[in-house]
Amino acid sequence: MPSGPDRPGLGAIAARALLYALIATAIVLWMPGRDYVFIYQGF
Amino acid sequence: MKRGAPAAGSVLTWITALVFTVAIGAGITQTRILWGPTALEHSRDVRRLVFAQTYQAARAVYAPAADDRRAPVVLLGNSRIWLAARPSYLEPVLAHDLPDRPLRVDNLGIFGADIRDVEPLGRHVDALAPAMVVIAVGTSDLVPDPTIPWPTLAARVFDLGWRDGPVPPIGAAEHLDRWARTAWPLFRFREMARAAIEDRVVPASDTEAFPDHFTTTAAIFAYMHGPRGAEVEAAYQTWRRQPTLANFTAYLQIGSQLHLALVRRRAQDPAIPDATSPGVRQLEALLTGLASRHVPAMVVVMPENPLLAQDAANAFHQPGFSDAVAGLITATAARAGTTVVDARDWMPADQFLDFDHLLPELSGFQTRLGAEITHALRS
Repeated sequence: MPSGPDRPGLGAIAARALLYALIATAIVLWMPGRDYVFIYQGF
Repeated sequence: MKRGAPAAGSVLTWITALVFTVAIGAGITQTRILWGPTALEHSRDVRRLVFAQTYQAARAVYAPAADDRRAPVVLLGNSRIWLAARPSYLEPVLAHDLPDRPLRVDNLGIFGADIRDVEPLGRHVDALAPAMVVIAVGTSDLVPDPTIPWPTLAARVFDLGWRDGPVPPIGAAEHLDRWARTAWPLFRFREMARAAIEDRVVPASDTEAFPDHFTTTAAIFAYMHGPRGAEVEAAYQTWRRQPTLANFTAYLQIGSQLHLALVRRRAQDPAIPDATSPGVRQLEALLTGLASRHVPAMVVVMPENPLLAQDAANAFHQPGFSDAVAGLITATAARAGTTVVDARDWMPADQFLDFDHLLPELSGFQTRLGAEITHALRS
């Protein structure tokens, strides 16, 4: 894809997309959620 | 130098980001990053026990071992079967009884699991091409324990799909959550992936795998209770010398107060399930699902402690509950064409760890269970 004033370069797109993907992954992995640490009371 | 237009505003950037996100997710959830051995699964920290067992069950069905060509006997249930039929002592029984048929045992029991967890887990066992699926169910397992936080991690990672299961989620948020878990494995496994990544950076240090074999009750209590093991063993031996219900509860008061409280609470719950109860519907969904997919299965109603017959005050059981639920299980299994083995009266009181659980290995339960599995596989 040719780059120009109206169209970002492939390298810029890939770098920006990778940044977004890493942020999304980190948010999903470390997002606050339920605490699954609990003591089973059967013993 | 002339700058191009900002990449952030390009649709192509967002499409590429989506592709990268999926690729990174696959790089985590389909590799050893998530499914490789971890220290956390052998943690002695009891707060991590249920998490670790759920993680192992998820690994078994989502990333089955490719290098073991033995057909698996898959055990589903909770702590009753987790303790009573470890692979290290059930596999030798099966090897003895079926010498021409190499089998392994995948014990996917999860402490505290009830039919709400077991039913969705059962939807995934096809991936293992099991020789037999054994659904080990206690009569109290069709009624949820209100002290177990819901939804459990097991429900989150195994209850997938675009359509509702036998007991539909309550609201739009639950639907959205399930759809997201179904479509996006990284979202489904996020707690496990986080724990696995953190464990690879800083491995759990308080680890000790559950022993493959036990030769004495003292060894069991030493593992389960650590420094208090000798005290629990002494109380247990006092009960063995004078096997009364009072001495048994005195032993549990020392060794298993939480269990004692659970059993007392259960006995006070007046509700006896019927054919329309959610637990029964989930059991039926599990069994009919396995049957429709031609997965060989059998139900084992797990042993119950005969000491309960001495419970004249009904402090630890509801009269009639066990028979009523066993009847429901049998009728439900009959509708699905599934064999039921009623093992409630198999074991004497001195083979029990408490009211619900058998002594691991020492009880000998694995021998009778192995015989039943062998019989089912031959018929």
